[in-house]
This record gives sequence, structure tokens and C-alpha cells, in this order.
Amino acid sequence: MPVESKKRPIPNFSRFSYLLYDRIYAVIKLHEIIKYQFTLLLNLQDRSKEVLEDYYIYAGVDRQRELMGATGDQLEDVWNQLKEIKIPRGEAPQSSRLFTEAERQRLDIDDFIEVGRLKDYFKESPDKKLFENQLLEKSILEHYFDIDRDRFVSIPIYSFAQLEGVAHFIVKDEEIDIDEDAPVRRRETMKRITRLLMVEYDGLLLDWDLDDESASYYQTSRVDFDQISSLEYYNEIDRNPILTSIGCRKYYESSKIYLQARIRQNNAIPARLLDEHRRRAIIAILIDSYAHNISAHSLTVLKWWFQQRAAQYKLGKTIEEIERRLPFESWGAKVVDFLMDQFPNSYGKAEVEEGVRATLARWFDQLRRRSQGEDPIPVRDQLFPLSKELAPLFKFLLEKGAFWSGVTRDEQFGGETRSFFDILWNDFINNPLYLGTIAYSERITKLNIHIRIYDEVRYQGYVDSFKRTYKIRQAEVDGQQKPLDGVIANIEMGGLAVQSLQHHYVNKGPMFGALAQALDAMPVFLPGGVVGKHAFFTLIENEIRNVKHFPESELEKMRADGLTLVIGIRPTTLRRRLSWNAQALYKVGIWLNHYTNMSIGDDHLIIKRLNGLESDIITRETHRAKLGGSFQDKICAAMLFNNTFISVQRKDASERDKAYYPWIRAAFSTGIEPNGVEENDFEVKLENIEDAKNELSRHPKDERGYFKKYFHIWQGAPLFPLTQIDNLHYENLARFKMVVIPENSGWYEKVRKEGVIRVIETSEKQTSEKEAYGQWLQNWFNDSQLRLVLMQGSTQAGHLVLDEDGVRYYNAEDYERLPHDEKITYGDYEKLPVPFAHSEKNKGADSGHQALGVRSHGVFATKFFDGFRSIDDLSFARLREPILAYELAEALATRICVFDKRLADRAPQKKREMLSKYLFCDFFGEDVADWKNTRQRGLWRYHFVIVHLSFIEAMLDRNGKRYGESGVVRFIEDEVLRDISPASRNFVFVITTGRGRTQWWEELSKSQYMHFTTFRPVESLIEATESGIVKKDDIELKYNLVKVLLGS
Amino acid sequence: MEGAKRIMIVVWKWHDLTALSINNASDEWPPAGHQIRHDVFVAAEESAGAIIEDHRARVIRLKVNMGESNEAMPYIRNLANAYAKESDTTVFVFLHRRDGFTPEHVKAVLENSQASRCFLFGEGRDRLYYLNGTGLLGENGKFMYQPPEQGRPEVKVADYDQHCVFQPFFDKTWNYYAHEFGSKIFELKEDLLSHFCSIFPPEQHWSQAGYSDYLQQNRLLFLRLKSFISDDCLAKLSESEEKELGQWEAKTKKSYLFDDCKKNLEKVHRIGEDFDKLAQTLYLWLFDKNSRSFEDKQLSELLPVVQIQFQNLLDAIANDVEY
Repeated sequence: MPVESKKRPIPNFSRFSYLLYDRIYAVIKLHEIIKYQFTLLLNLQDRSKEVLEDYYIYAGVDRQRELMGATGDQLEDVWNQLKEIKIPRGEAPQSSRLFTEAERQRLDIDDFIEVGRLKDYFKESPDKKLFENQLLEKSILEHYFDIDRDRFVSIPIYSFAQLEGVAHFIVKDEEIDIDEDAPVRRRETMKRITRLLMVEYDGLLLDWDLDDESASYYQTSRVDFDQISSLEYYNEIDRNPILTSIGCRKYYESSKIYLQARIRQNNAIPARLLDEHRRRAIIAILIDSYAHNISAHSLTVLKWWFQQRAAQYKLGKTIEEIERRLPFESWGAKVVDFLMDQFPNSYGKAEVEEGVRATLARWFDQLRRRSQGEDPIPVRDQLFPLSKELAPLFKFLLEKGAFWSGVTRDEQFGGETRSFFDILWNDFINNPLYLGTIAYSERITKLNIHIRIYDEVRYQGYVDSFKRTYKIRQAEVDGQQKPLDGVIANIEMGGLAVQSLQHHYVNKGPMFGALAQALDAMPVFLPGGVVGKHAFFTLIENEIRNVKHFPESELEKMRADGLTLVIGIRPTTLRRRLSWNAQALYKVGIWLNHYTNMSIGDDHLIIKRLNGLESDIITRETHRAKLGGSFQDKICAAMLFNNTFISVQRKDASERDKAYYPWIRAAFSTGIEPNGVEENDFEVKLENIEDAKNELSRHPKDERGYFKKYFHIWQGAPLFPLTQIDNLHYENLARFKMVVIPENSGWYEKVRKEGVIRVIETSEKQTSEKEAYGQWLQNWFNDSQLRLVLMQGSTQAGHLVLDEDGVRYYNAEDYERLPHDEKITYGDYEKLPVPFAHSEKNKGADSGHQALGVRSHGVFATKFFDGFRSIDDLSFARLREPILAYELAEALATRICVFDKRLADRAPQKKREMLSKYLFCDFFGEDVADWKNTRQRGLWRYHFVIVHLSFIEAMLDRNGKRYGESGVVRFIEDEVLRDISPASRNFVFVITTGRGRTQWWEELSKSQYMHFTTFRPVESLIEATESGIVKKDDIELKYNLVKVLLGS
Repeated sequence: MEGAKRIMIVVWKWHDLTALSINNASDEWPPAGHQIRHDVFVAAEESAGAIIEDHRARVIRLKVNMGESNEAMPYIRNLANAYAKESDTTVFVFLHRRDGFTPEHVKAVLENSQASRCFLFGEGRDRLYYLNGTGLLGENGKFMYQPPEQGRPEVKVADYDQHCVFQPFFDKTWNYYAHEFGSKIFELKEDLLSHFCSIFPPEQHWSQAGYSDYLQQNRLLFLRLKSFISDDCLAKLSESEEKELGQWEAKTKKSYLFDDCKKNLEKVHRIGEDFDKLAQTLYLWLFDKNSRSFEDKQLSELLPVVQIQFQNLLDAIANDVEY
């Protein structure tokens, strides 16, 4: 059948039936079609279940009793049985007849015009017994009607051109016997009733879609009105004459506008309600994740350890004790004099003495505890400061705040592309206080982070079947081919008993080098930047936390050798026939490398997990959030795949949804095969769950293995030629550095709204990355001819030339060798000096030199150049790849203006002047005078103007009123558009905030300024700035900012 | 007419040169068992597309691994002697501060070799680095090359293929260093006197502290003076003061430090006494908090004393020009 609603259950179907009965009865009465007493038995297909079974029910029995006044008729049991009975197809003679006729496409008005006699219907013979349902009907009807005399007539109930049931009207004999032309006998009356029933059923179904519970099925929105109002449908698909008789096609043709409008209206309301329930649920579920992973597991332990550490700084008694045993005068006076001499202007003598005494006392206490054999406690017994460990923890907690804002806002405005290595090593692994305590409830303080990189997959049977073999990628390690499979690092919170004062919490594993290199070559797109990153981290954290499910014997091993978390990564394709290179995703598997029982009772663990994941994140009845790790995983995986959290229940809005819902797959394996390079996985998804169940039922009940979860993260990629606008929805455009669109396609605004800044319009059919980047930079820099001159002191050490031919980098030696004419030409280009210090010794603004700081381990030296060990190499180092010249020019010459207190605080005044002069990066606090000044000088001078939302809100408009959150559009019109054309393609207005408010965005979404406005979390911008400042690498600071702003 | 030979030995981070690495270098020359690691750029004129070399003027390039300055000393000393022993030859040695060379090394070169001068340079702040037509070096380990831009022609100090350094740059640089100390001292004198003369009524009486305080108002002058007397070991620039003076040098592209001055003047002009006398006066007047030598003295009495001592020193330098 063409209409999918057949397959859909009607939630709260008994209520639906009750009301349908009520309506049919009332309409028949209203139209005075039946004069005398009547009742009706309403047979409907049971639509209460997901899977429709081929039986009927008596619908609206309760309403029938009420309307008949049949409450004290001693037939309580009969009525109840009637309510519950399920009538198989063959046991409802009248209804079956109509349905059978309809299936044969022969149902005509003549088939049921015939008014029947009840006595014939209930007639028994030795070879024809009444069915159970007939007996029930008879018991009731003989109480209210005269079986021997009274009549019945059966009318089919159609809805949206589909047969839904049959209404059997029981009427008094008088109704028929008046004359041969009694209304009920008339053919036209029968048609009228059929039409009335159809309209009532349709109407009720439309109403039903308004119910938020029903809305998830969207019954009516699945109706194809074009089809049911077409001649073709009634001539070829459903040729039942009755449909033509009642004018079904014409009715739907003329009602199409009305019905579609109602459906649109219907869909919007409950969807919004459901969305709200789900939004709340997402927040609740993720709060639970924080409460569990961070508060209950980690912070509880850390709080306790630090409390004890703090107590160790009560040193008064120890100081007295030392004084008694070894007077300060005999050992400390010289130390104090030395320090005073070296640093005369720092502290007074008394303070210096106090510091010396306290330092010794702290050390004294620790030595004493150790010599007394007391077990060392992590954190408490670390002699040296823990700033190195605390800083990443604070950063992590700060970013969790940004994550929360991202969750409440749930609008990610593009994202960031970073390498797996950068994400895992810098932001995840190097956070030992957190990771080392997450499993402490099981007394585990050692965590091994194991990376396994897969290359190929081989399926047993069809593609993507549940049995598959993964091949592990190999790489050269120490001159030998080895599988990329090993511990990249371990985090060791315990182990303080070793003879070393400085405890190393994070230690690189034996495979670190090879794994780091492989991971670094894997660009990952994180929707919303920090938001996506923490969605990814949550998926990992949850797995670590799952350690509690392991048996004590396994936990014992983990305490000794460490808990091993495996992250398996395989580059893979997007499941669809695509015309573009679709190596779009990383399939990421996460599991604990410890055996577990794969069966729970009769269920296999992976089936149980997938079934759980398939269900909604809210309960059907009460809409409460379903808390727990699985749903945390599901929400985070949905976000990583669809860029929004609210997409978590979007099962079938597109082919992509159908293929990937519920965003996580459950799997298990028994480990690496003896050949050392292959692993057999059993992986289930919704499509093959039934087959998988069958297969798994044959597995041993005591099967053990590694319990895995898989999800997908998008690969960051350089270029996407958008040739069909539909691809906008199937692809994740934000993951691309650049998107090329056809000239005059009118898609520019749409692509910009996806969060892509670098959008290039071209008439070329094929555009290379270089060509696209070159064209982009020409647009971005207003067709300028630029020469960025990297200076070492006063010597020109490198030349970055940008013009209509693209971007080229020449080091000083190469530039000197260029033909003289070429040098003359480039010499006339606009010169932008990028001064670096003469040497490492005198670098950065802090030194008082007018020079930018750059570090040998910073992004400038490591990402862009080969052989850049110090600034002395600048004149001779070459770019790693020619394309990097484009990125470098973009990073250096992009002009940014920031109005944000916190960002400005990070850049001291001295540094700000340098950043402004040479890196075109102006930092301001939130001072209106600065804003006015900048605006007067012209916002057109910048590519990005970043303004904190609260600054906009607090500013006053011409009438002296605050703009407020809802006044962002007005602010843009009043302040920004003064000298920026809305059509400008090299200006982006960036709003930043740390809060999850969205009203400003909703207002903006309705405006025409979306294509040059975007949002970035303030935490991302702060992190970009801080990491450059801490590293004392000004180029890194600028590069980071540009990367956050452009997304990649 | 054949003139005197001029040799500059520049010990620097030459990019294209292999670093000298000599452990326990002996005084043998040429060094036994070690390759000679220096090379020679001859001064030359370019005329009608042809290079005309002047073998009387040369730049000897030598590279030392950072931190191995002490080990390199015999090599440098012998190298200087090897050239200086030729008749009518003057040798200037330039030592790069960042490679670990200090005033002690200057002293060692001057005392133990026949080099006429020994200078410390570094951080792109001295005139050995190219600036406005004078100087030889870029800051990148090479002779200066500046490409043509915005109508200005290119600047090319040396031709690597020909192993020559162009005469005008050589000459200007040589001349600057031949007179460097005299110029620096002269400028110090002028700045000091004008600082005090222009502000104070000459008959006014000042306390010792008053003079010190007033000097502090011209921070750069204070630092230069302190560096001057530091070279006589009367005071010592603190690390931060030295850094500050370095920042001034970077900003103005001028050399202000005097840490290689006195040793050279002593060797060339034998004027240690005049230097000491002036340094002592300046120290007592402006730096010694306990001194009362100039308490309540009028500027009109004081400044002529200082001026005369400066002049004596400058005269001694000027009267004894040997090249």
C-alpha cells in the first residue's frame, strides 16, 4: 500500500477508539440518518502495537455502553470480554468480507448496501457454529434488540483512501420497514455515511497527531496527497469502485490545501513539545554524566587527597621541633643572607626566613612519614607543587562549562578540525588528576591508554554484516613493520613509593612515537569545537567508568597492571552512493581491554545494549529522562555525527539517519587473532539485529569477550565541491575547510549558515585545493598583492608572496636566487613585516623588543616548517608543503578585532601593541569608548570582529536604551552595518559568550545577516589565546585564533 | 700604492660554515690533527661586471659551537697571530656574545695575540650588523642581503660564489670600528655634559644624592655611564640593567656597552691611567652613595673637572691613531 500510516501504531488507541465511536454516533444522529433506536459495533484493525497483526477489535465499547445506557444490564462480563477480544480475520464474517473484497479491489457500494437481518447473522447449524465474538455480540444485542426482527448494515471506514475498519449499524426493524425507500436503504445514504465516517476518522487522526506522544509517529504527515488525489491511484493502485463512488479522489484533491496546512500545524506543535522534553532530558542525562564521571568518581577522590595535602601545610609544630634539634642560626642564617642578597627587593628578611623554615619542615614531615613506613598517598605526598597537573584539570573543568553552554544552546556554528593526536594527547591524556581517579572507586589508579588503528575490513557475507574481520594498520617502527596497536601512554596516580621526588603521572608507552605519528595524520572534525571535543571525551569517560561491572578477579589484575582502555580507529566511508570522495568518517571503537561475560540471562550483552539504545531518551508516558551511560553515549554520539544534541532521536528524517541511528553500535570480539594483525568483531546494528540474535543464540552461554561500542566522527577535510544542494544535508559541510559552489548558484548564504566560512564561488568544474584556497584568499584579502616579510631582527628571512597566482613562500636564500625582475615585482607589493627577535634570548614583546615571539615547539616551527629548530633557521627552513603557504598567509594577515574583557586580560598592554601592529589582532576590553573609536576608524578594516554578548547587551542605542539580548539584530544594523555591506564576503561578525542563551540567535536567524554572523564559545577563544601566551609563541596565538574563527 | 693590510676575524654563527670544535686545542699552528675551519672572504670592488679583489682587506670567518668559546681560544689567538705577523697588518677580532664570548675572552685575545682590537658583538645590536650602508652581517648567519623593494635597490654585502665582500661595506665597517671607542666615549661625554649643563644653573649647589637622582632621570645615560665604570670594575651592571641597556641598543641600533672598551684602550693606547681616573671621578660623583667628594659642589666647578678628564682620555686616543 502506498500510505505508510498503515504500518504505524496509534498511541493510546483505546482512547482513539472511544472518541471515534462517539463521533460516528453523534454525526449519524446529527444528520438524522437513523430515526429509531440504533447502536453500532465498530470493528477496527488493532493499531495499538508497533507491529500490526491481522485481527480486529471492537472499538469504543465503553462509549457504546454509555450511549446505550447499558450500565446496569448485568452484562458486565460480556461487555468486558467484548472489549478485550481479538478477532482473527476469518471470525468476523461481515468485516472479513469487506476487507477481502477490498483486497480483491472489488469493493463496491452494492456489496454492503444490502441490509441484513440479525437472525440470519446469528443463525447456527450443525456445520456452522457461531464464533466467540458473535456469541458476545448476540448476548448484548438480544438484550436491547429483537434478534428475530431487527436489522444491520455494515459500512466500511476509509481514511486517507485506506480501509481502516467497518462500522456495523444495528437498527430497529421499523427503520427499514417503513417503505422500500427508507433512508437507510438508499444507496445515496450509504455513500453519505461512508463519507461521514471517512471525514470523522481523518479528523480524529489529525487531532491525534497533536498529541505529543503520537507525534513521534506523524501519522498524517506520511500521507501522500498528490498520490491520493491522482487519477492514477484509483485507476492503478487501488481500483475499488467504492472509492470512486464516494468521490474520494475529488475530496482529497479539493481538501489538499486544508489538510496539508493542518498537518504542518499539527507537526509543529507536538514536535516542539517533544523537542522540549528531549532537550530537558539531554541536559538531565548529561548532568548525570558530569555528576557521575567527574563529581562522584574523580572530584570526590581529589577533594580528599587535596584536603590531606592541605593539612600537611600546618607546619608550626614541626618548625618548633626542628628548631629544638637544629637551631636555625646554625644552618638557616646563611641561606637567608644569600637569598636576601640575591633578591633584595622581593620580601623582608622575616618572610624569607619563614619560607626557608617552612620548606624544610614540609620536607622533614614527608621524610618522617616515609621512614616510618607509612603508605604514600597520591597528591598528598608529592613534595613539589602540582601546578602542572592542576592546570589541565582546571582547563578540563572550564571546558566542561563550555560544553554545558553548548548543550543548552545546541547550535554549534561549525566546529574545529584537529588531529586525533592533538585531542587525545594534549587535552585528554595529559590530565592525570582526572583520569587517574575516575576508576578510584575500584581502587584503580593506573590507566593504560591503548590505541589500535585499523585499516581494512572484510565481511563474512554481505557488506556491513555483523561478522567482520578488521586488519590492523602496520607501520615501520625501529626498522620493522609492526601493527599500530599498543599503549600510547599510561597514567599512574599511585607509585609514589619509588625513589623519586618528582612523580611522573603521565608516561609515554613503547609505541608512543609510531602511534603519535599516525594519529597526528588523522584530522578530526569536532562540531562546536570544545563542545564536540567533550562529547567525544564523555564517550571515553563512560567506558572507563564501566570498570565497576567487572568481576573482582579482573579488578585485582587492573589494580596491579592498570586498567586498559582501548581506542580503535578506522577511517571509513559514509554509507551512501556518493559522487564525491566519501572517506568521510572515522569509526571509533572504545572498550576496556578486559574480558567480560557476554550474556546476561537469556540476552546477549550487545543485543541488550542496542535494544536499549534504540529506545527514546525519554519515557513514553511521563517524558522523563532515561538516565544512564548508554543514553549519555547515544546523545554524545548523535552530536558528533549530526552536530546537534537534539538530533539524538532523529531516526528517519533522511537516509543517513536510517543508516546510522541510534548512532552507536554494540560489538564484541575475543581479541587479536594469533597472526597479530587481525581482529574478528561481531557488531550489531538495528538493520540486522534479528539475524544477529539468531546467530548469537547459537553462541555458548558462557561466552567471554571484549565488549565494545562503536560510533562515528567526521574526518576533517580540505575541500568539498557542492554540486547539488541536496548534498548539503547528507554531508557535514562544516567539516570542510573550504566549500566550492557553482557561480551564481545562490547557495552562498545556505552554506555559510552551515558554519562554513570559506565558501568559494567558481565557474570551474574542477577546482584543486590550491586553486580554491588561492581564490578564497583573493576574496578574503580584496584582491591584494601582499608580501609578508618574516624578519629576524632587521634581516629579511622569509617572504610570503600572495597575489592572483596564489601564495608562495621563499626563504631568504631562495628569494635571493629569484630572477631580479621578479624580486622587483614582489618588492612593490604591499609589505607586511612580521618581525621576530634576533635570537631566542631576546624574544617576544616581554623582552621589550619590537619582535614577535616564536618557539621551536610551537605551531609555526612544527606545523609549517621543516628544519626549524631555532629562529636562526628561519632564513633557510622551507615549508613542509606548498599548500601551507596559503594557510600561513591566511593566519598571519587575517585581521581580527576583539571586544571581550577576558580575552583582553590575557594579552598584556605591551603585547597588544605588537599583536596589533604586526599580526593585525586588536584586543579591547568592553569599553564603549574603544568600540566607538574602532567603529569610527572602520570595522571594514577587519575580517573578524568578535564582540562579547554582554557588551552588546549593555550598550545603549540612539534612544538611550540597552540593546539587550533581543536587540542583537538592531545592534548589527545600528553599529556594524554603518560601514559594512551586508553583501560583504570578507567580513564576519562573531558573537561570543560563555552562556547557553539562544534568544539572540533566534532573533538573528530571522534576519538577513546570518551569512556574516556567527558564534564562537568564549572558552575556545580564551584557550586559543592562552595557549599562545603560555607558550610565548605569538604566531601560535594568532594561528589558534584564526583556526577557531575559521573552524580549520 | 700598497696600503696596510686589514684583517677582520669574525667568530660568529655563520650559517654555511661547519662549527669549529676543538677539545684541548693546543697552541700549535696550524693545528695538528684538526682541520682548519675558517674561510676567507676577500674585499673586492665590482666594476663593469667584473670583480676586482683587494687582498689587503679580508674577512676571516670562523664558527664556534656555542659554549665552546674557551676551547676555541688557542685557535683564534693563533689565527690572529698568523695574519698579524705579516708586515703592516692590523687584525681586528670580533667575538659573538651569544656563543659564550665575554670580556674575559677579549682580554685573553688582546693579551696573548697580536690582534690590534678585539670586540664583542651580538644580538643584532652592533655596527658589525648591516645598517644604513655600514656593517657586514645580516642577523641570519650570513652577510647581509636585502632584496629590492619599493624603489630601493638591493643591498648585497658579499658574493658567496666569489668569496668576496664588497669593498664599500668593508671599509665603512673597518673605519667605524677603528674609531669606535673614541666615538662612544666622546658621545658619552657630550651627553653627560649637556644633560647637566642644560638644566642646572651652574652656580647651584647640589647634594651628592641630588646629582645621582638627576642622572637617573636620563635612564639611558645612567646605564651607559654605569657600563663605562663597570669596565673599570668600580660598579657592576646588574643583569636587569644589562638587559635594559640591551633593549636600548636594539631600539636605537647602537652599541652602548663598554665591556670591551678598556682592555682595547689599554693595549692600543696604553691609557689605562686616564681611563681609571675618569672612571673614578664618575663613580664618586654619581654612583658611590657613601662618597662626599662632590657634596655641595657647584656644577660650574664640577663639570670642568669631568670635561678635562674626558678630554684627556679622548686626546690620548686621538694622538695615538696607528692606522
